[in-house]
Amino acid sequence: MRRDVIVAAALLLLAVASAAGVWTLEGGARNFPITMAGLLGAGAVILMARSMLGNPPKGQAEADEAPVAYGRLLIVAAITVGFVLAMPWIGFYPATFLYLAGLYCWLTAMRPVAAVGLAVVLTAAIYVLFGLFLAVPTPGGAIISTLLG
Amino acid sequence: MEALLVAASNVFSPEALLVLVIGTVVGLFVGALPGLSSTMGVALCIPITFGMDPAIALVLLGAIYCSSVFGGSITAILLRTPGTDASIATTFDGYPMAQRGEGTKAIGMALVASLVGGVFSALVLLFVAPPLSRLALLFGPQEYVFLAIFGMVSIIGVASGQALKGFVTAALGLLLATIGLDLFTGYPRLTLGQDELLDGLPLLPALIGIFSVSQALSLCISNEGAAADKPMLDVKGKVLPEWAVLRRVARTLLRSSVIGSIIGILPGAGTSVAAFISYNEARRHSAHPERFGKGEIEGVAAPEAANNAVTGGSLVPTLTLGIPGNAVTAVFVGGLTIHGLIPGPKLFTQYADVTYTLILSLILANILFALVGLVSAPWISRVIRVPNAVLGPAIIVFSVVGSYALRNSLFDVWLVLGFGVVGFFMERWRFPGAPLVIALVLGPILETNFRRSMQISGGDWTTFFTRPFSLLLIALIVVSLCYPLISRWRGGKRLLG
Repeated sequence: MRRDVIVAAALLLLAVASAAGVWTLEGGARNFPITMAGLLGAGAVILMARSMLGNPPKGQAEADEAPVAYGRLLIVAAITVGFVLAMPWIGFYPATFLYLAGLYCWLTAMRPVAAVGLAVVLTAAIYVLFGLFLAVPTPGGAIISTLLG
Repeated sequence: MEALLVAASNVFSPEALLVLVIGTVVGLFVGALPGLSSTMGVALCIPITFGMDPAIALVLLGAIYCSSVFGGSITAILLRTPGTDASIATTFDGYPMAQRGEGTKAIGMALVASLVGGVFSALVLLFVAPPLSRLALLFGPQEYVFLAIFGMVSIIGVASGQALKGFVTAALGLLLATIGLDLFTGYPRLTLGQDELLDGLPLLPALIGIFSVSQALSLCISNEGAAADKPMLDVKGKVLPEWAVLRRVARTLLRSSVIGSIIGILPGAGTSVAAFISYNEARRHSAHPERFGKGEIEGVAAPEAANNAVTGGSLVPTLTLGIPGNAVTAVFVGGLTIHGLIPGPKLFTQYADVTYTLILSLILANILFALVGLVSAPWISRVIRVPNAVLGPAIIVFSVVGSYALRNSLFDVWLVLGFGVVGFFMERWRFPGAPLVIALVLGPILETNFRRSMQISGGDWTTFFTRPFSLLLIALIVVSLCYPLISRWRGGKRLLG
């Protein structure tokens, strides 16, 4: 339930910041955002009060206890952020290959050769589907473009 | 009639049939894989439809939606691992049947029931939606205000045991929906100086983030899929049920199809609710209720007919009024809008050929997944042995390329990842995601029509309470708000009695 208190506090802060962000607007432009911020703030306050004072609803306590592998999540998130940051530099498809190969080597029980092989196959499949078949534009990659002239 | 004929020729074109087959196969796998949902399947495939003709795009999305609901039942029966929430009730009797060596029979019944439920609901959509859309033409902005409120109230009300959290996430969605230029004054609101947000918070990145990336993150950090370690029961012999069995369950199939279609039309409730209600009704009407839970074939027929009957029903308010009743149909709204189709009565006048193509393709998709399912059931149950850690990163890559394709903007990719992380924690901490995305769809409808009503009436508030349809909708909202309280009070009285 402590999590709900923290979430409620964050939402309350967001509601106040949003209301402050539109406060100076005129001509009715601020009315709806302020009303919605008010609803969000009210909901957050009630949630906070219920979490601090009341008994957790049935099943909630177990949900709070459910373990999350935060370390693993953080690493996956960091690698994913790296993947998106790398896309404009090395291009979408090379970045996809590196991303998949890296995660498969780390997350699965496959041998590195198999993991890299699977990454190659999937990257090729994505290229065929999105690049050739659907002609979806993807980031080209500044470094690759420079190297290739 | 002319539109129906055009739609028929669209549906039977080679391109549509090919897309239908692809959508059906994709949907079956999405449904069968635990951790992947119908919503995710439809959301991930929307970017693929960019270059397609709108009618063909909707055929693909419709086929994925229908077949993914059925796909979950195969693994529910053979592994007691429902691929989606819709198939949880199917495990009650499907798995005991499979344990007794009647897995093939159970899958056959699930196929027939899903076919009956799906086709029934597509026919409901075909016959109910056009008159409702004509009625919707009589609606003014005042009615749309109350329709949006009704949609919100319903979706919050059914967030089982999480009404407060549903309310909070809906309010957050409504607040996020105000981001962008104010259409009436031109003031930028809550854009944080980002030009990409001037047109508002794009719906699709939010949908893909909340429903796809969040699930993909869960798959990445989970240990090897539990389903992969479970012993799988064999599928051998004749799949289709015998005539005598079909006659015995005919009434259950019809009842469940009606229940599923009605629940689908009502905003808020979804496939799992329909499946549970139909299961209970089948047990209540059965001559042998004691057999339920021990491998009774009617216990497979009822939930499977009902959950597939939700598909067509849920598209009724979405297509006619533009009010999505659940998360999948909210995603559908996103799919319609990127093809320039605004959900509402115009879909049955200006774009009638496209809309009827979708409806007819739903009928065809239901027949097709039954045929594909008949052949591929043993293969589908093997596919779920793909480890979660292989699926997760691949889904993230699909989400990234799909979101980039929206506007060729990396900003949308960051939005997808941001919403993915938010969705991940929302799920862990039991904040329902559906009210948030439905609020993102309904927020602009609510605000625009409210302000338009006030402009038309010269600021007179009574304009909301003097129109018959408005009053009817207000009554519905009051009933939706009071129903949970009344049922709780009645439940309490029964306990005391």
